[in-house]
Amino acid sequence: MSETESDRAPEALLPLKPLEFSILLVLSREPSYGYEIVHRIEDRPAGGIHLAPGNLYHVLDRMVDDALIEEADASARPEGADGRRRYYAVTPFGRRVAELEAARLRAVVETAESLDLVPGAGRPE
Amino acid sequence: MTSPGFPGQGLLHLLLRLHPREFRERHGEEMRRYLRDAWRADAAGRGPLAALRFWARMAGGTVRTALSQRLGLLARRLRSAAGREIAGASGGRGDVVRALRSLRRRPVFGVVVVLVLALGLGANTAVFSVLHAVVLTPLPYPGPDRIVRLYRTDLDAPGERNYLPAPAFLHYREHAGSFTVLAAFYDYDLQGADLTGGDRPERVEVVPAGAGYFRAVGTEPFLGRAFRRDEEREDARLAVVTHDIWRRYLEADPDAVGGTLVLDGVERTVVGVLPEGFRDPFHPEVDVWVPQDLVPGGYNHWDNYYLSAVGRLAPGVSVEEARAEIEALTRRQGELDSGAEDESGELVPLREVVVGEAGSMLWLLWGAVGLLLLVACVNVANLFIARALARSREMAIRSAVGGGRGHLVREILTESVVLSVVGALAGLGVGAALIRGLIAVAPPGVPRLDALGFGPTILVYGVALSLPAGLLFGLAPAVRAARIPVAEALGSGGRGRTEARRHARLRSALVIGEVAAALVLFIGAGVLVKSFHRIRSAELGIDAGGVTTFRVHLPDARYGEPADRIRFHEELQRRLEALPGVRAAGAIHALPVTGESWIWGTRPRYPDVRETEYYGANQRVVEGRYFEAVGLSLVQGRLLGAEDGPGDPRRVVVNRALAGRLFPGMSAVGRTVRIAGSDVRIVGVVEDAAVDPLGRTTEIVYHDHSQFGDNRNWELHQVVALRSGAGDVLPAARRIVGELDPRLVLFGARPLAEVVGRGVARERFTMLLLTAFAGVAALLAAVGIYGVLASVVSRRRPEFGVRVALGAMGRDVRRLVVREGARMAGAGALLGVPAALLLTRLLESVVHDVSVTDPWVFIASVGGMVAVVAVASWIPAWRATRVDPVEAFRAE
Repeated sequence: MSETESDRAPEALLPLKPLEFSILLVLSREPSYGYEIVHRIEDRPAGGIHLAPGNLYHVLDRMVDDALIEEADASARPEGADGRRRYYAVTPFGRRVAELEAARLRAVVETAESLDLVPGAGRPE
Repeated sequence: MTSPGFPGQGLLHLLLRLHPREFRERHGEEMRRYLRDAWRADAAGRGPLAALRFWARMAGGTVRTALSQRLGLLARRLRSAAGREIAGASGGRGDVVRALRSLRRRPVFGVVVVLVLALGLGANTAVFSVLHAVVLTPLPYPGPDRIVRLYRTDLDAPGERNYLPAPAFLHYREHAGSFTVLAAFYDYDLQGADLTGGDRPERVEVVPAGAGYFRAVGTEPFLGRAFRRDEEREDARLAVVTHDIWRRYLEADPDAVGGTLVLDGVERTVVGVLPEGFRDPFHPEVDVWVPQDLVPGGYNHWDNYYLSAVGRLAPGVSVEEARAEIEALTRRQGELDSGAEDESGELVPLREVVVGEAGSMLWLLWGAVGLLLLVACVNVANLFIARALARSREMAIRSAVGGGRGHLVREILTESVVLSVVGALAGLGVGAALIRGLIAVAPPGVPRLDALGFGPTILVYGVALSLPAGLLFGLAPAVRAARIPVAEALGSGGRGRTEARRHARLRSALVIGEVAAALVLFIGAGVLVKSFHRIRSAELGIDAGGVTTFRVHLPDARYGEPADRIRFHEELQRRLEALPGVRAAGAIHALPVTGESWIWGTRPRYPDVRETEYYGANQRVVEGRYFEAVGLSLVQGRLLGAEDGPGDPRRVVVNRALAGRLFPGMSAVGRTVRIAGSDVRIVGVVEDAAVDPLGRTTEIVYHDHSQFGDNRNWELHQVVALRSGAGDVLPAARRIVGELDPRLVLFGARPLAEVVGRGVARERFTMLLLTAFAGVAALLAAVGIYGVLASVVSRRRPEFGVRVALGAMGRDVRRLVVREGARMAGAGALLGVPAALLLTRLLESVVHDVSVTDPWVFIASVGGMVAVVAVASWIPAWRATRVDPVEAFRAE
């Protein structure tokens, strides 16, 4: 079990890679396991799942090493969870990093809106 | 754990094995579950194509991730091994560490080897993958080798395959015992249909087919049924649809059978839905099948050759036996019909029909890319030899202090295997990228490209190709370098003079082989370039520049009356002609340079010709100012025009070829010919327009649609010639069509130049690829020559120093080096030219109007190779002139 707190500042991990951010978003709802995480991220595209399993677990390992997520013990798993699967949950540190990443992305979008590169909320196209 | 319904256990195991052991142990079970879940969601029960795509995606991602993990692991081990003594390390792991450290000291060597291997292996893998998908992969139909297509042939021209008359097909079906099923279908002139039911009409492909068609090609509707024999009638308003149409237009309703679709304004009852993933073997894009009319009479007579047929051989019957029976039946048909006694039947296996000429093109390209790989491997072998020689002093020292010879050989071999593995992986990456490129530039008509992917077979092929290569080109230099006597290696200059000379001879021999192989590719490419140039220069008789074509189909339901069709086309032409920027607008039912078709009996009517004299001439229906639009000039008489209306006597224009054949030595204008039961008068003669991209011409009769539109519903290709600088005419054309009838669809828009170009797309593709291979091979050969000459200069530095010290000019020294290069090039040419004379015969099926042993091509190719060698020799030659005699003596 990795440590739930990192000795690094959350800002040191920004910007997050899109896949890592997506995983944090999925896990911030509730703990989940490998395929279910990807299923929720990719939302069933027409061509099927595109992420190979090795890729996913490689990224999950890295996120565990960075203390962004951890393996969920039995008490933290959602009701009806399959006992044979390995579930992951977001750590408080990981949640903080996700919040900072979301704030960073919002600032980027706001900048784009101010430059008229994207329509702003409530503004007709 | 075995999961029922989950194929690919072996492949799953292979993929997981690519990952490092530690990762596998930690996540193996999770990854297995993941793959099974993803399989169930994305591929299970969706056919072989979906399965192939699934595994290609997973394999591609796994290879990338596994490679990254292993390289990271190697790097970590390297860092930890840096603190260990060389003598203390032992076993394979130590060899790999030492090999990596050695390579890290000379990164350029490693990078060059990996790049050269990646190029050769990648190109080979890419071409093999296309070959595999198109030619080697079994057709996705049950018992594909039992499916044959039936043609009619002429005994005078047995190689030419023709369509069948309906009575002939019915006779075969009734009497042929060699088939479990024989079915008719129509694809002589597929027009498609407008399918309505959505927001706007959609153009779909439609094939009329008879009873037993689906059983012949190995499928059955999973809902409903196929057509029955009693439904082979024109008034049978039925349809069988694909799974996709069922999903989009019938809402995937399990009770959709009995529902209706509207095709060209005609309601058809859906009687069957085909399984998902099924694609028609002859027309993969077809969406709907309708019953083929086989009722005797009407156009189902012995003189109308328009039907196609497919059969499934009965168990135990060979193609030859079935062919013999068809030939015998055709002879019996000769007793029933006076025309059939000069004819025979031909059976062609489905594979040959589907793959067609693409197969020979692909085998050719695979051979060429094999030569390229040979050049790449020889190049790498050369690099290894040079490196082994450069390390001979190091080897000698280690041998002198107790390192065993076997150990040294193993270390060099390990280096070559490591590089070949990395090169192989890099080659797979290059191959995957090239596959995408090949798909993008592949000519139209190359079948089965949708099945192309980076699957397990391709992976295995790439790895199997590279690993033996790695051992091979590492073995010779490894053994030789380890054999250098210690004293010699440590002796004057530490270069092992004698062995260096032997190495130089071996390297020269390898480079000569490289030059020969590259020259063969050069010559092959040169022949194709010349052939392609001849094709492109062929006189087509038309001017395709600035001409746009498109089609508008008039459905029978609303344009059943000839007067309605004639009025529509006349009005369309008038409005198109009036658009700004339009030079001329017309239409024709079969565009030029797209092959012969609609060959009907055309009998001249003059007293000294027997009534039974029969000439087959291509019939074409034109409208508007077609001849002006495509630049076909008038030779005699006049063109068709407003005076040739529906109520006027029937008139036609013929081409020069027909006029010369039917009326030799006299003017054809004013003469009469009999076509389709009517006498028509010739009012004009135009120049010949080619029927294929090679400029071949044939006899053609042009009818005015205003007069011939009552024969049938001709689907005309609109042909609009624009003035230079005029913009795109299509938006205006769409608007005009919409104004005339908002329910019509304008489709198939293409420049006429592209229509013409499609006919040579295969030749262009082959030429471009072979030229690219030749270019790369020449580059590699140049690198090989450069490497050898550079080592020659290095080895002979003292000699050059002495010569310069004794007063030799720079050009004298340069000449020595260049002569060495020229000697290798000359020897390579002596090998390569005879090899090319043999191998270029393989190009005979793909060249036109050019000899595969054209001497000018050979001369130009040898000249080109000489130029490459000259450039490659220049730098070492220049360096040889910069040798400082004092430095040279000091080093000595």
